[in-house]
Amino acid sequence: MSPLATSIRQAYQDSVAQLNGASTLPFHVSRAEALERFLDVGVPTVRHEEWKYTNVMPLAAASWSHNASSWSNTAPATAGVVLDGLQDAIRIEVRNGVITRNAEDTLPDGVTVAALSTGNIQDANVEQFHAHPFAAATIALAGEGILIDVADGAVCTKTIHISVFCDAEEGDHLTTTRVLVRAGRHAKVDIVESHHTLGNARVLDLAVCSVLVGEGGHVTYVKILDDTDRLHHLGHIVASVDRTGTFASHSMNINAGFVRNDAQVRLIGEQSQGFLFGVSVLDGAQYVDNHTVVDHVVPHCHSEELYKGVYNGSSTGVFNGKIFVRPQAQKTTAYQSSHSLLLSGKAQVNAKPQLEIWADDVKCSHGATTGQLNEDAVFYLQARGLERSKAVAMLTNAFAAEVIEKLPHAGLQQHLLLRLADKLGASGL
Amino acid sequence: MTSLLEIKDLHASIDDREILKGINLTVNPGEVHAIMGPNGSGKSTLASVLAGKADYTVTQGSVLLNGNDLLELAPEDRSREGMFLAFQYPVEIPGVSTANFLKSAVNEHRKYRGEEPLEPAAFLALMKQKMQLVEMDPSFLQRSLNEGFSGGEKKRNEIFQMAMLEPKLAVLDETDSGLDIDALRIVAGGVNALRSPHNATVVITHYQRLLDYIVPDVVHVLWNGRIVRSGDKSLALELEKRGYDWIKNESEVEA
Repeated sequence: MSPLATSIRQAYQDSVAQLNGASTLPFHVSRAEALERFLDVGVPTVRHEEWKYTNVMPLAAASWSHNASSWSNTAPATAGVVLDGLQDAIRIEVRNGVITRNAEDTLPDGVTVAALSTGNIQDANVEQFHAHPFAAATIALAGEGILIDVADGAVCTKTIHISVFCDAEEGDHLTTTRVLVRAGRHAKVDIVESHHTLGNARVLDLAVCSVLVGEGGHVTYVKILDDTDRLHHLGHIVASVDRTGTFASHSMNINAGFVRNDAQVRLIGEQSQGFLFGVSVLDGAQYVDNHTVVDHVVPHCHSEELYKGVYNGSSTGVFNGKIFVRPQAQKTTAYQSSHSLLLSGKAQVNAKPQLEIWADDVKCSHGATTGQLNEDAVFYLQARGLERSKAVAMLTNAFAAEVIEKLPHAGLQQHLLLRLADKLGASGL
Repeated sequence: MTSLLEIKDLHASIDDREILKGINLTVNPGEVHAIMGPNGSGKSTLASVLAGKADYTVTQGSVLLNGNDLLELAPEDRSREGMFLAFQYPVEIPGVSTANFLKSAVNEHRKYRGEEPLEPAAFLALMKQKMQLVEMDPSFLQRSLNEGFSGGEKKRNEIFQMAMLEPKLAVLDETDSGLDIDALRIVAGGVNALRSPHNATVVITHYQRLLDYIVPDVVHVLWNGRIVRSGDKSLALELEKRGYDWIKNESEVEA
């Protein structure tokens, strides 16, 4: 067993030892099951098809402390991250897996935020998480979890912003966060989840998010990774969408050392829609793997995927996009595209679209491009008086901005566009 | 009088193939020069070399703009020094609005001259005024630069940019190609409105048609990388009537 797997098993045992009578609650029973599923597979090697490009062995070789309660003293207990554009958001903070701020009194009618562990909620997506070793490990280790429940017909007019803090002064530190979003019939909610390291530890930040969209419901889920190279994030989001419901995932990978983002949409009710968007901006030795699955289970559903990546330095990207169209899912429309811009000869990208279509009356397309900047465009801008570095930044921003502009929050768009420009500027292009 | 542009014995190659084989050309302030010539004679190469496109290597000769060595400068500094190339094929740039692009370009020019950036309101007013020169609709300002523009719209956009940047030397590379007669008249009208005793225009064209609207002081014929004949505007009419073959034959005899 790898040191990481040993760390995960040990962390689980330490955690359940403190549960006493609570261990019979459904939440904790499901944790035991998830641990078994993790231990069946262990930490995946590159021989595992879904981990062919993404080698986690360097992470597996270390021993990780889990959800340390001894927070670093480098920051106040509530770091109070307020992202530009989200000043009015309902703020929830999680520190090393524990909810440290829960603004219940600011919640609109019909919206509940609670610890997932105390309720009796069945997560309909649990099988999808069990099939993924790190998602299973996350469910096994997450001792509390967050439930965001939006009742039938309720509209959460403010964005809910979950700040996830991974806090440890030094060494190798593992944190786990679990979120379940349940949007009832015709309920609507926008959620932003941002991840931050505190202290100087190298952080393995595991996160799962399960989204259940009821009939006619509407959920957008934005994940922002904009931290340091210390952040190693393995996240898995699964959404099941009922009749005429809509789910959109926006994965904003602005700055992190290592990222594996799995995003999965299951269209299980007719006329439901799923959207997966992602933008990644990498430099140095940063790594990103966007792994998506869109599963068209029933007829008359629509899905769209757009992922874009900008790769500088010796960074590496992976895009793996699966679309399943089940035999009964006639009249499906499914579109997928991934585009990568390589700004350096040492950067590389692997793109692997996989379409499995069993129905015959569908419209599906996929496109993957990898290329350099259009030198004719750079010259055109230079010939009008822009320095080469500004021309490159302008073109690169425009390339990535297409994805950022799909965000439902104008203020957050502005914030991320500025962060993008900062990072591209700092790369000394 | 100092000449605005002075090209002496200019040789340039691409991939070790020599395209320009000794160009000599002097353009004075206030003048319009036309450069004509058959396909492959080096017209567009000359325009690209003047603008500083990296694909071409200058192997010999000199180019002075207002007495400054143009060949020493990066493309952006040539632009800031007053060189403007209206592209034969303006590049489509998705995601960059025409307004944002021009704001950056104009403010870079202002910074180079030590001036403050324009206030947004003043800039918008300036753009709207200059767009009228080429009868462009202000809705183009918010559209991505050249993306989905028709051929005529792209060329009008080039002249609009020229109006915004007020260059000392404008080189129009086949600006008439792909234009119908109405667009041609609009584009030429814009160019004429921008003429002054202090700037100069070099019109590169295949056909005499454009020169009915932008009347040149001097017409040059480029053939096989050299200017083989220069004359007044009647030379363009003669070329229109007789084609280029007689020039080719004569220059081969001279060679």
